[in-house]
This record gives sequence, C-alpha cells and structure tokens, in this order.
Amino acid sequence: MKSIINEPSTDFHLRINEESFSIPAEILKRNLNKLERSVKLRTDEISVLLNKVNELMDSNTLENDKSAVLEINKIIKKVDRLEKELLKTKDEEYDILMRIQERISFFKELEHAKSLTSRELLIGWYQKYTNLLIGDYLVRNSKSEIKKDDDTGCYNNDGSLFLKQQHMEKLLDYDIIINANIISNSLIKHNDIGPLLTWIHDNTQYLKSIKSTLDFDARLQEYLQLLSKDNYKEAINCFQLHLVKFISTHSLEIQQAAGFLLYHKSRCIYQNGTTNNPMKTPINSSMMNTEDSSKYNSLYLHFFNKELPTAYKEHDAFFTNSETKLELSGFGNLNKSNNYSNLFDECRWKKLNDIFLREYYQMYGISKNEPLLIYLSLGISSLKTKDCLHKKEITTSENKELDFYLNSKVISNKCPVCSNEFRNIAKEMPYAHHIESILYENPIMLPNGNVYDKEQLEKLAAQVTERGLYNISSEEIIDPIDKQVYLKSSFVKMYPT
Amino acid sequence: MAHLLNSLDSGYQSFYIDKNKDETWLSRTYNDTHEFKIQLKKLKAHLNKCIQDAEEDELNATGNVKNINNEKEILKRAKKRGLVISKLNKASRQWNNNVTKQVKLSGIQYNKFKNQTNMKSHNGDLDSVYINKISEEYKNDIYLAIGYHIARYGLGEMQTVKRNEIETYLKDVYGLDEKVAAIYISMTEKINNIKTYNTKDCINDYDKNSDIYFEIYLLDIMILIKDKNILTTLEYLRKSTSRSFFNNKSSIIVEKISPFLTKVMLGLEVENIDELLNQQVDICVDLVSKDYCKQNKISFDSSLFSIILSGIISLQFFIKYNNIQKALHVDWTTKNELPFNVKLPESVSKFHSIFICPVLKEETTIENPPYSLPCHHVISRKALDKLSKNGTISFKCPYCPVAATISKTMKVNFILL
Ligand SMILES: [Zn+2]
Ligand SMILES: [Zn+2]
Repeated sequence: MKSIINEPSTDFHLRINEESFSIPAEILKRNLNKLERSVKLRTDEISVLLNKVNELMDSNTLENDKSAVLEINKIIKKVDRLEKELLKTKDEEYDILMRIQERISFFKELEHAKSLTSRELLIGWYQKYTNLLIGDYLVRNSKSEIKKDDDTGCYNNDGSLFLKQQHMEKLLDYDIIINANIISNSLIKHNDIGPLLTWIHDNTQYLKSIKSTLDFDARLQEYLQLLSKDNYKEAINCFQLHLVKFISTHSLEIQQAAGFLLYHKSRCIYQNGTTNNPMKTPINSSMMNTEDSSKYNSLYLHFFNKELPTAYKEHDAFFTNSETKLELSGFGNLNKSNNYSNLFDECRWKKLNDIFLREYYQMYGISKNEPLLIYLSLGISSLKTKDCLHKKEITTSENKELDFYLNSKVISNKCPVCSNEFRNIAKEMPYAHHIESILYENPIMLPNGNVYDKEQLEKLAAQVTERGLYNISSEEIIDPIDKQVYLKSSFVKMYPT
Repeated sequence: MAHLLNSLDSGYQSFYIDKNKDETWLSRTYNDTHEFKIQLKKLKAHLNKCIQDAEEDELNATGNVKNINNEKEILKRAKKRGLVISKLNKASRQWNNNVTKQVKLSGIQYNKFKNQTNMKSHNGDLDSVYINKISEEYKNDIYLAIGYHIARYGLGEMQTVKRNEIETYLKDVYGLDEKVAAIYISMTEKINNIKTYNTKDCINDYDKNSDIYFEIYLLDIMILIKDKNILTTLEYLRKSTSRSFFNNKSSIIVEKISPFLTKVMLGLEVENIDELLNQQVDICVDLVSKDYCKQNKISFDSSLFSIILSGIISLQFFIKYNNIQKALHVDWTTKNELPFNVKLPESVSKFHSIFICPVLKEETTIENPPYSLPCHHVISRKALDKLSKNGTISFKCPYCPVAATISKTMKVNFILL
C-alpha cells in the first residue's frame, strides 16, 4: 500500500507498538499462572475431601452418612471459592481481550484510511495516535498525585484521566504504569518499602529467573532504615530472616551490614548504660580503636550515603584518643545541616527505585523512554531549519493599526519548532538536512533585498487597502517587514535556481 | 496488505472457542465450575433426604412391626444412596478433568498469542534512535504543549461543558493562560455547533460571498433533506437560485441537491444521506476552524501534533540510517545537522523559506546568507567569497555567462508569507 504523506506502513507501526499487544498478552499469562496454582490447590483439596466422603459412605451407617454430608459441604465451599477466583480471572480476561480487540480495530482504522488514500482520515488517525502518546507520557509523568476513584476503585492520575476523557483508555495499559508509580512514590516520597516488598513477593519467580538483586537490595534498605530509626530488634529480625540467606551471593555486604549493627549497638550500650538487648556479647568499649572508628565511618558513608552524624562522632572520641577527636570535629561542621544529609539519604531510595523500575518495565516489556519524547526529538530535528529560533528584526511605522495587522497576521511565525513551547527544547537539537530549496512560484526582489512571492505581495496590498489600514494604489505593494510602499515596477525577478 | 495486523487479528479470534465470540476456555471453566457447584448442592440435598427418610423409618420401626412397604422403601433408598455416591464421584472426576484440561488449553492459547506479539524487528526500535534526549527540565514546556494540543483538538471529547471548568482545568494541569484557553474553547463551541447541525448562529458570522457561507448553506439544505422537510428545502433552493445569491455557485447547489430532493418528494429514501452529511460537516468544520485560527492568530495544527507527525514520518529514515551506520561500524554522527533528508507534508513543515546554495549545496544561514548576483542568480556568501577570491577578482556566474564583481552583488532575504 502506498503511503499518502510519506508515512510508514501499518505493519511498521505495529512493530513499533509491539507493547500494545505484548503487555496484555503478558498480563493474561500472569493471571493464568496465578489461577493455575489455585486450581491445582483446590482440586487437590477437593480430591482429599472426596476420598473421605467415599470412605464414610462405604461403612453405610447413618452417622457416617451425616458426616459425609458435612464433608460434601466442605467441598461445596472449596468449589465456591474457586468459582469466585475463576470469575475474577474470567472478568480480567474479558477486560484484557477487549483491550486487544480495541487495539486491533485501532490499527485497522489506519489501514482503512490508507486503503482509501484519504488524507483526512489519515491525519485524524495520527491525531488519535498523538493523544495516545500524550496519555502515555502523562501517565508516567503525572504532576498530580495518584487519586483513588471511590466509585470504581481505580487509581487515576493526569494520564489516565486524559485517556478517559478521550475515550482511549483501552488503548493503553495505564494501570500497569500507575501500579509502578504507586510503588515508586511510596519509596521516594514516603520512604515506605512495604508495597515494594509485596510486589517482590508476588514476583519472586520472575526476579529469580532474571537473576535480579532487587530482593536483596530491598531487604538491605529495610534493614538500614530500621537501624537508622534505632529499631534494633526489628533490624536483627530482618537481618536473620531476610538477609542471611544471601550470604553466598552478597557475603561482603552482609558482613558489612552485620558489622554495622555491631557498631550501632555499641553506641546504644554506651548511651543507655544498659545491656538490655538480644546481643549475647556485651561490647567492650576499649575494643574500639582509631582504625575501627574510621572503618565504621566509611561503612556509614557506604550505607547511608552520608557522613556520621556529629553526635556519634563526638561520641567516637570516647573510644579514641584526643588526636582523632580533633580530626573528626573538623568534619563535624559539615554534618550540622540536616537537610544536607537527608539529601544523601534520598540517594539510596532513588537507586532502589531505579532498580525496581528497571525490573518492572522489563517484566512487561515497557520501553524505558517515553515514546512521546522520542517522537518529539526526531520531529524537531526533521523540522528545524537554519532560519528557526531567530528573532526577526521588525521595523515599526507611524501607523500602529497597520503594524499590528502586519506583525501579528502576516509575518507572525507559526512554525512549531519556533513556538514558545518548543523553542527551548529545539535549541539543543540538530537541524534538518535539506537538499532542495523550498521557495515560491514567482520570487521577486524589492530594492531593500527582501525576496517575496509576487502573488502574495499583491494579495497583501489588496487586503491592506480593503481593511482600510492604508491606501495602496494598484501600482504599488507594501513590504510587511519594513512597512515601506514600493512600486511594482521596482520588482526584480529572481532566479534562485 | 498488512500481514502482521491480519495475523494478530486471527490470533485474537482464536481466543474464542466458538464464533459467537463470548466463550473462551476460561469462561467455559467458570461455567463448568458453577454447574458443578449446583450439582453438588443437589446431590447433598438428595443425600440429606435419604438420611431424613431413614431416620423417620427408624422412628416408625420402633414398634417392631414388619412392613413390606418399608422394605421396599429401604431398597429404593439404598439405590438412591448408591446413585448419589456414583454421581458425586463421576461429576467430580469429570469436573476435575475439564477444569485441568481447559486451564491448560487456555495457557496454550495465551502462549501462542504471546509469541505472535513478538513483532519488533531486529533492525531497531524507538529507543535505538533516541540520540538527542529531551531532559526532564523541560517538563513544563511539554505540559504546556500538551495543553495547547488538548485545547486545539481534545475539548470536544470532554464531558465538562462549563467554560470556566475547562479553563481552570487547562490552567491548573497544563499551565495554559485563561485568555488563550478561551480562544480555543470558543473554537470548540463553533465546531460542536456544526457537528450537531446547529448552524443558525454560525452562518451569520461569514460573508455571503465566502466559501464558508456557501458550504454551510449547502449543509443546511442537506439537513433539511434528511429531515424530509420539502417545503423549507424548496424555499432554500429558491433563495439560492435568485440572481444576487452565490453568483455562479447556485448551479452547483441545484446540481447537487435536486436528485435528493426528487427522491424525497417521491417518498423514497436517500440511502447515503448520512454519509454525505458527514462529509459536508467535515468540509465545514475544516473551513470554519481554518478561518478561526487565522482570525485569532493561532496555528491550525497544534505545534505538538506537527512535530509528532514529523517524528513518526522521519522514524523510518532514522532507523534505516541507524542500520547503515551499524553495518559500517560507525557511530551515530554527532554533527549539528541530520545526515539525511526527510520529506514531510507541507502542512506541518512549510513555515520558513529554505535556500540551498547551488554552489556549496548547503542551506544558507545568518552567518552565510544568500547573495544576488547581477544576473539575479543567487548563491551563498561563502560561495561568493570563494568564486571572487575574497572579493579580489571579478568572476563568472556559475549558471550563466554574466560576469560579476563583489560590489555588484546584494544580500537578499527570502521571506515566506
Ligand atoms: Zn521555525
Ligand atoms: Zn547568472
């Protein structure tokens, strides 16, 4: 099929939009895997119950028959539970299949426009497509917080609301991205690791299959957060329950983490003067020397991305000699500002978030860059001329009304690259490559060196006169740039080849 | 033919077991399970009945009276009881088999479709051509551009009808100035009026001699025909054919309309009237919005849309170039200019005049502007310097025999109106 405006083929579009189909296919598979596990579980349970029923019935006594009825009741309950799960999965399947159907229809519309060689239909389709790209961008970059819709139970942000306005919500799997946003936000904005841990738990198999370290990274962060809140009991719990098992793959980090607990703990003992803690060996403060101290400093830096708080450092001096104390207090000033250390603390959360998003997007096959931005980048470059982004020098005349008309309606530039929205972005983009001049039918030069299309100049003169802005005789034209009137006889025909 | 699209479509169809399109393996599993549950409940009721009857018999049998009827009842009950057991086992077995089989078949179907969605060509995708990244610091610019885009095309789809609500939305979310938003909202109202056949106010905005007036008038007549309003249609036609009206265009109206009118008068249906009306609405919407944009100094297409469309068209060329580079083991050029030309539709790209110096084959710039030779051929400043050895000699125009010296040349400025 021939293209109408040099646009790519429908199949090319499909290749580029593989995600529109691979993501729903992935969701289907995931839902079914979950269902398969429950079907296995329930059918096994039911088989066991059924055997019991048969055994009871074999003895053929009234009492056992009554017991059998109770067992059958249990079976009914199990079947009922499975039925509910099936209903949920079936409804989810229906929803996903509708998405796929809607998307196929969407691309059929493109094919239809092409087959009719209808420019209008084609442009209309690309406008829809642009809205889809906008929806995707807004879903990922929403400025507004995610809000829960109490009626439907859906989570919405700028993007999903926009898609719903445009009746395009089936064309994008925004729920997948919003779900990632919810986990992301809780990490970055609230330093809450809970939702991430739940997600990791639900996707253990996948994470294992790609040898992800996310599980370890998340648990380590949980552990460090507990420590930084002085919640030793929970920290130790977390360490033993979740971190120790990584000893073969992350032995160094685990040793460091353990050592760090020891260090933290020792401060605790010193400060409280008690040893009411689950650690069996009380730490002898004299064990700490200068070397240890600086080692722990660097450990602290490693895990929290910030220097040891001043209080701890002064405290350190208790263990070390006065020389060290002097040295440390020099750094102490740096740490007085709390904001400064918070900033570094955010770093760890951000890193964890980056790893999470990478694995999450990879799991569904979601592109890491927003397609809208990619198309904008390519589009700006393919449109940007050497004439773009320059401020034109505009002469003014005595006649304000005429100036206004000429400046705003005649020479105002509607180039998208030069628009207010895009000029800043466009500054950093390469220019388009042109191989042919793009000029006009009858280029004529005025004495001032300005070259215009002859017809356009004549039309303009007529319009200006008609509007009563200035009286231009039929022998004359007006130059909208310098606002001077020139005789048509001064036209010089140009040959710009 | 779109090969991938067709195979996706047939892949989608195979999710459904029969062509009625509402049954998948999974929905069948659900139905079977539901049926099974109902059956279980029935069997349970039967069994309960047996137990109840047996208990009643025991009560009656306390008198030690032998009853032939009772013997019969007991036999019947034993048979019923046996039936319940065998039905229970059979139903369970069957349900178990079905469910396991159906879930498996569903999985096979899913996998098949998943494989079909592997369409990405090995020759590269979107990410691979994203060389010049747009950093996050431009988020506000992008939001503003989106705001303009929505204001230009998207308001018609919105449920909200109140002007101030739309204004607030555009301002709060996308940072659009209320005054600018108001311009677009009015435009949307105009377009919606046409789309809902409410042309009364609209038509009076235009000069009777203009194309817009003519097309809206034509639309009016078509609406009347659709409503089978013969008298008014005739009135309209009469007016349009009167001498002063539409000058030479009235014949077009008569030509276009009379076949329909005849049909309506004969009580026949005009089959394609809806299609024709839609086409006419599109023509009117296009003209009205073009005129409106011009009057209000806003561009017809949103800048975002023009750029996106250009990006989509150019993507194929970026990918092709990328592959050539890869094959040659050369890195993507870091030059200031794209290494290839992309032909774009004029409607989104013709905003500046472009002059390629015929000597150097380069686009002229502010630093290297075009110059007119005495013969009125045009070359760039750099070419001029080269040919004139920096103005020291006279030289011949590269395109005609006329000789030139640098003092006889003139800097020119191509301006697109
Ligand atoms: Zn420009
Ligand atoms: Zn010449």
